[in-house]
Amino acid sequence: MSGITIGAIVGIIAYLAIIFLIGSWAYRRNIKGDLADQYLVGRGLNPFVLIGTLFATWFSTFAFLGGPGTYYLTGVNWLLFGFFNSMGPVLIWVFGSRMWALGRKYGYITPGDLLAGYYDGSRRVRMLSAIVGIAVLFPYAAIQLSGIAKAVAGATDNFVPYQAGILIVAVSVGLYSIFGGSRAVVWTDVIQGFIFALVLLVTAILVVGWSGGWAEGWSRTVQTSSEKLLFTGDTSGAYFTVMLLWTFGWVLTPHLWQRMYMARSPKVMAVSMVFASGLSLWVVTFSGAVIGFLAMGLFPQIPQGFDTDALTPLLYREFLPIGAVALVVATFAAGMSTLDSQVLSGSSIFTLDLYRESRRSASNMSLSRVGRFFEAVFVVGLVLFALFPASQALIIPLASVGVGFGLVFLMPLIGALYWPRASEAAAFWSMTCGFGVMLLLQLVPAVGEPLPFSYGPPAWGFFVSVAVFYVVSYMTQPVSERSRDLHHGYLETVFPSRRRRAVPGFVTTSHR
Amino acid sequence: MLTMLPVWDVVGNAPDMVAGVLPLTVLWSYAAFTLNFILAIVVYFTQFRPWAEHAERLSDEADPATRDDYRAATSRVGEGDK
Repeated sequence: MSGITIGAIVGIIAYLAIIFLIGSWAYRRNIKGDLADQYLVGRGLNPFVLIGTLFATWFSTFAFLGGPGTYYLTGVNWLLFGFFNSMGPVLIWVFGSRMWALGRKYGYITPGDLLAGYYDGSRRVRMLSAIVGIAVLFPYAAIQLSGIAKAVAGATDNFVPYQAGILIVAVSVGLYSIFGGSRAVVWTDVIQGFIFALVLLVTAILVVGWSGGWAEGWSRTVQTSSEKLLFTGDTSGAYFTVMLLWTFGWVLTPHLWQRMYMARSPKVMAVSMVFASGLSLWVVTFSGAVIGFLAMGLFPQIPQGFDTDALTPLLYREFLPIGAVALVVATFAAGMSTLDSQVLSGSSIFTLDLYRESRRSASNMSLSRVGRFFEAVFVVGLVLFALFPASQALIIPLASVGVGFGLVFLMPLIGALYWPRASEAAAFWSMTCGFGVMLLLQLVPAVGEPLPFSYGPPAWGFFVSVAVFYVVSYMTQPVSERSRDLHHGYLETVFPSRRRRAVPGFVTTSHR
Repeated sequence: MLTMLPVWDVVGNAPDMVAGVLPLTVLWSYAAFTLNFILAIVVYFTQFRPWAEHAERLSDEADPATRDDYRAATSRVGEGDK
């Protein structure tokens, strides 16, 4: 066993020890039977923790494994990854502030709570939002799990084999999520986000040094790979699809949506928007770009036996082998910070949108226990999918469109927050049709290839959901006056400058 | 729109180094991204922070929302009035 492998194992053990300490602290502080405490840290996050959990939850192992590798492979065509990731947090103002206000007023915990709440308590909207939510979370989480295990197996020369990596990560995430709840998840996110952001920044700085300095490094890239520094101009449709995913994913994926409910106050939301945007642009995406572009000068061709996802490990292997230790820990941190949030979010959806619908009289204590049970089920499901190659064949196409499924929430959400003309039927059918189109185009290649204008399945599903939402809204009755008053009427008092559009029969009553 | 100009090959789509800092495509793109970030900061100061100060009182209200509020908001039409 090499020194690096020993170092990696010691690093993993030290990292897991810290994470379990946080989980144990969170367990002692949790309020038993309080669902908002279990899933939303009691809606009490300060700016430091909210920024940390937003940042760590949104960025996964892709940020420093796949991201730099994709810059290396596709060059400037991947630059908009930075743009859209930094614009996403602006949506915290557009949508998040209103989601926060309604969540606090009515005790919403899941996306389905808000959507069903606005659309007259619609059970079918709640059920469908739960199905879409699980479709967003599960494949993405399964890919995270297998991604971490593969990276760790590679970094430790298979001393920690793939299967063992899966079990270590699953058991760790399962334990601190189940017992520590959201408090453990967000605080470990802060630590995990700090670790992987630091490793990313340090890696970028090291790569500049290995390239002979800033100007020298970029000049070598220009000399060796000038074609990758030109936009090819034929990828606008692909850009648009990526823009939709990466921008709206900041609020529409269930685990990020629920972070909109977590802030202690509006000021926390405001500060978090700015910092999350800045960190995304300058720490994650610019560092990733520097690594990917300067690596073009260092490795004009990627060595045989490596793919571009292994670019960062390859750089360390070549120039600073001991750095692989930090890389392994950062891989754990980046993957687990996303995975734990997905497990918790999936559990809340199962418990509150599906189980509670069939057991309306269930007490909070009972729902809390059921939630923990569903977390365990979710983790076991992830392990099974990650361990069996046959299931990977299904999960990989789903994961590649996974975040995109969340786009079908956009129109119903706009209705719930802004547009009084929206109807329950429009919300249901726009989600159904949009989700159906995405699934069809992704899973049936004969239908999905080639797609016009190079737009991907998420974009086409989104277009369909927009069209269906507007057409059906104008063909059917808007939601009840009571619901409009509870939501738009309440937002009117929270956002006093907002002007409501006239809808027949709409009457405002006062909210205190 | 500024961001897309080099993508559409209107302007800024060249690999040449600019003043030894960055290749033009990368420099242009990150300058545009930074402008967007500045826009986000302007939104923060002009829209978000004033609202946050106005709405600060909401965080002092009973939390979490009462169970009755939740039931009123999520019950099906008619149920909540029973």
